[in-house]
Formats: sequence, structure tokens, C-alpha cells
Amino acid sequence: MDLWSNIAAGFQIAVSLENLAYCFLGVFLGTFFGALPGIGSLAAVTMLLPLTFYLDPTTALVMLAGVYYGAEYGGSTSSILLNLPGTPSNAVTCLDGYPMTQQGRSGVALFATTIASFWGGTFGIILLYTLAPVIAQWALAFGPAEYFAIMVFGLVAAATVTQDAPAKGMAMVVVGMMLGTIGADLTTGIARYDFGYFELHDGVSFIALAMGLFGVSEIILSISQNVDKPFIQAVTFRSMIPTRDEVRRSPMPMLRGAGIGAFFGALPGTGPSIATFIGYAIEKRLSRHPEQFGKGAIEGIMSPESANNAAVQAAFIPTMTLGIPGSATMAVMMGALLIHGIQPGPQLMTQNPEIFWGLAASFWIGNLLLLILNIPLIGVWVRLLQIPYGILYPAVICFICIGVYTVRSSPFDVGMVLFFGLLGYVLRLLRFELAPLLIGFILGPMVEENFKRAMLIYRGDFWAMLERPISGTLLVMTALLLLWSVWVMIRNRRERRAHAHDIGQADD
Amino acid sequence: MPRIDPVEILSGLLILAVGAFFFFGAAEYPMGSMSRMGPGYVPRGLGAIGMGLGVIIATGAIRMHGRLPSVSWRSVATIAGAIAVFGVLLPRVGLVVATFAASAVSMLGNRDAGWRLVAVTSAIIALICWILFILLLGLSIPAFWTDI
Repeated sequence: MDLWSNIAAGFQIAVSLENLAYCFLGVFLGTFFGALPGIGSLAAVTMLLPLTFYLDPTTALVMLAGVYYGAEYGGSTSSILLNLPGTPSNAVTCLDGYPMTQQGRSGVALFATTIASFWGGTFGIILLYTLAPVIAQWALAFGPAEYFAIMVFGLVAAATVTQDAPAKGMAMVVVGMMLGTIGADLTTGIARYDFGYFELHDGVSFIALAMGLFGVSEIILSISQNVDKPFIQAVTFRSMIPTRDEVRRSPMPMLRGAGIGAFFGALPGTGPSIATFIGYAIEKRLSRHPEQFGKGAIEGIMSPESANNAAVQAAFIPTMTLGIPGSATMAVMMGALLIHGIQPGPQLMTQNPEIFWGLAASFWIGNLLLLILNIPLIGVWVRLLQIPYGILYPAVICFICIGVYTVRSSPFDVGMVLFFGLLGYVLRLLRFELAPLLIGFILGPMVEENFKRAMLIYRGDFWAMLERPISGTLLVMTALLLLWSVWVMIRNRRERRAHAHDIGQADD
Repeated sequence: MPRIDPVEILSGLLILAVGAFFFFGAAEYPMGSMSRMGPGYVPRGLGAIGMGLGVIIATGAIRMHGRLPSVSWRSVATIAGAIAVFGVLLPRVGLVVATFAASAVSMLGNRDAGWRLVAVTSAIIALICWILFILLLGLSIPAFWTDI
């Protein structure tokens, strides 16, 4: 069968010495950064991106993907031990993971998340194998109207689904798209919004934007909050053995979590964070002992961790088959592919099959490495959490500066990272979510391009897009999402005002 | 005077300003028509949407309670200073000095760090960057002022 020969060819690429070595390096560094509280997978991938510029594109992607899922793996460690989520999608794991630590059972929790993560990752990879070729085949028939509709849907979903303030999420998407219009127009070559700098004719540097918004602003925030030196409990092999009852209760939450994660991961715009929340909520509802949740129930870490890693792997489906990144981290991955001159999309699987199948195979090897790496090395990660942040962040600042500079050998881009770092800090203080901005920036130029082409085809008749089945359905769904988020805004406002009344803070 | 949530009002005004900048800035570029869009068409549309969202966010602030978060000026200044120092020094004196200086400046944000810790940490970071990026990865960045 064709699928099997592709899978076999992929494994052949992935087990080459170079790819194996970089896969290992990726998951190792990813787990390292993920375990450090505050540095999420997004910041980790962005900061390590410059290390891959000189690699072969497949190897570069193998390493970056390793960093991504390694960071998601590692993030659960600090959730469990310190009650500080390593990455936002590990936040749910704190709810039951930290109580287990307080009961002196952190070993069991760490062991359980490793198993759940491995299973979730494997499930996501199986889905990637089976679904991606089908979607890519299907997507070959897509025209600009379909692409426009998918991207608009993805952008609106990214802005509204996971946000408590949909208007602010939408504003971030639009700001991202506006930043994306800076630079030469594709059809006329007119430089837009260049502020008189010729460096901006190629557009805003994606690396400078991502590193400034996520890396620099993160550091400013972290050093302004003084974190107490954590007390960390030693983890031994013995302490990892779960009770028989816990073993019996684990498989079903793990299976359900993987399914939920894969579904939300594959949808553009929704990502691991929402998948983990839904996975947790469902387990709590299905459980016969919901009162145990929040007090160290094993189901409460199995399902979200499995969902998280399934979502991470499934997120590669829209990126690789449609060229539409589902999350901000996937946007960085896609940026990496573009830097190597590879355009992700339905043609990727026919034109560069080695990248797709090699990468997919490396995912599974990477997950296996993580399983092997994590059980004996948990003690090392635990000790890592004790490195003082005060000597770590100067190194990270230097890495960011060097990384941004090397892309175009340009001091101008170092200035840009400074600008976006300050912008990111201000936006965070104003309680904006930054991920939608990055997705808007990446998708913005593609939305514009496809919109222009579609309007050229339909002679300026916007409604013609609604008459085509796929684009029409997606645009109607987008409209429904917008209506729903207006309702959420009104409801939130009422609740906040009612709350303010209760504590006597509202006027009138 | 009705109560206003300062975070939301500032957020709304910021988005309104950015939207207005792109909306009015787009007037410099040809608009074209719906069927043949010029370079100004999409930025103008985005600017209009941005201004609308800014107004929505700002009106959401009215009659709500809130407090402005405090800004950690020391952290902002040291991190911004470190990046600026790096950008200025790198093309002039090379990577090793630039990373040493950037690291040292960034550590000024940490009140607990004495000058000895700053010097040792920065020297180690400069050494690591030199070995990693220039000797091992072979990036085409000048290491010292002699390489420029």
C-alpha cells in the first residue's frame, strides 16, 4: 500500500544520524525550556529558530518540531512540582498535579503525564498520517475563495474561541494583519507604510516580531515579579509507581483526552489550551467522584496531558496540508519553512514528500525519545527548576539579539525586536492576548492575496463566494462565531457589573 | 462622572489610533475597485475595522471598575538598554564584547546581583555565545573588532 511505503520512506529519512541527533537535541532543549516556568513552547521555538538556519530544511523542521512537543512535555513538570504552568496549555495540569505533589506523590504524577503525553502524541501522529494526505488531495481543488474563507474562519476562531474578551482578540488579529501589510505590495511593488526605512520594503521581520512580542516582553514581565525560591521535593523511581486503582482509572481519560485534543488541534484557530480545558471538564462530568477533582485525581492529569500532546501533533495537519497555521507556534514553524524557501500547502506532499513523511516519522521517534528521556531524567529536570532566573535571562536576551541579527545581518532588526518587545509589554499590561496578533501577521498577506484574486474572478461580487459550497459554509460559520462572541461580550459585561454591584463598587 | 476602567479605555484608544493610522495612511496608495484592488484597498479596510473595534473596546470600559497595572520601569529600562547596547556595539566591536555588555546591562535589573556576579555571568555568557554561534555554528558575525 502507498501509505505504508510513504511511512517507511519517512522513517528512513528520520533515522539518518543527522536527523536523529537534531531530533534528540530538539526534544532535549524543548523539555529544558518547557520545564522553566514562563517560557512557553512558542518562546522556546522562536528563540531556537536561528540555530536551524544553516540546516537542511527537513532537519531544521525535525529539530523545531522536537522543541515544540518537547516543551509541551516539559511544561507539565513545573505545573506539577511548582504549581506554575511551564506553558499555557499545561495550566490545567496544575489543578490536580500540584495537589498530588502536596501529598508527596509527585513521582506518580510525573510518570502519569509522561505516559499520557506519549499516548496523546501517538494518537495525533496516527491522525496526521491518515488525514493529511486526504485533505491535501482535496485541497488541490480549492480556489482563492476557499482559501480566503478558511483563513478568515481560522482568524476569527483564534480571536474569539479561547478569549474572554473577543473584541480584544479580534483587535489583535486586525493589528497583526495591518503589520502584515507593511512592505512592498505584491502586485504593484509599491512600498506601503515604510516610514522612510528601506529595510521595511521586505516587510516587518517575522523573527523580530515573534521574539519581541513573546521573548522580550516575557522576560520584562518575569523579572519584575520576584518569584520565591521554590521548595522542590526529590523524585525517585520508587515514588513513580502508581497505585493499582490509579492504573485502572487511567486508560479511558487518556483515550478520551487524545480524541478531544486531536479534534481541537486539527481545527485552525483552536489549539492545545482549549483542548486541555475541555478534556478536564469532560472527565469531571463523567467521573463518579467529581469531588476528588482538584485534590489529586489521576484523571485530572491524564486527560489534559493526553489532549495537549494530541493537539500539538494534530496542529500540523492544517499547516502542512493547507498552509494555514492553526496556532501561533505553528505560525513560527511555517515561518521557518518559508525561510528555507518551502511553501507549505497541498503541493508540499507531492513536491517535497521527504519533508512531510520524514517529519511525521520524526514526531514518533521524538515522542519515543521523550518517553525514554523523561522517566530516568525526571530528577535532572527537577533540579533544573532550581537554576536562578537571574542568571538565565541575560543569556536568553543575548540569544534573542544574536538570533534576530543573523537573519539579515541587520542592526535594524535588533531595533525592531526592541520596539516589538516594548509593544508586547504594553499590550500584556493592557490584558491583550498576543497569539492572535502573530496569527494575523502570518495569515494577513495570504488573506489579502486570496481576497484580491477571488474578487478578480467574481468581478467584485462578494456574495459569489457565499454561493460556493465550501467557502459559503465557512463564511456562514464565521458569521455565527462573530454573533456568538457578541453574545459572550454582553453576558460577560452583565456578570462583571453584577459582581461589582455585590461588592459595592459600581456606580448608580 | 461615570466610572471608567482605565485598562479597557486605554486599550480601545490604542487600537483606535493604530486603526486610524492605517486607515488614513492608506490614502497615499491607489485604492482600485472591488474587482481590481489597489495596494491601498485592504489596509484601508483593515484600518476601518480596527477603528470600529477600538470604539467597541473603549465603550466597554464605561461604567466598569478597574485599576491600571503598575509598570516596572527598572525592568523595562534595563532590558531595552541591553538590546539597544547590543544593536549599537555588534557592528562596531563584534559579538563577544556586545554580548558581554548586553548581558551586564540586562542584569542591572536584578537588584540582588552584585558587580562580581554580573561580571562573571556576563563573561560566561559571552564565552558560550562565541563558542556556540561562531566556532560551532559558523555564523558570519564578527567575533571581535579585528574581524570587521
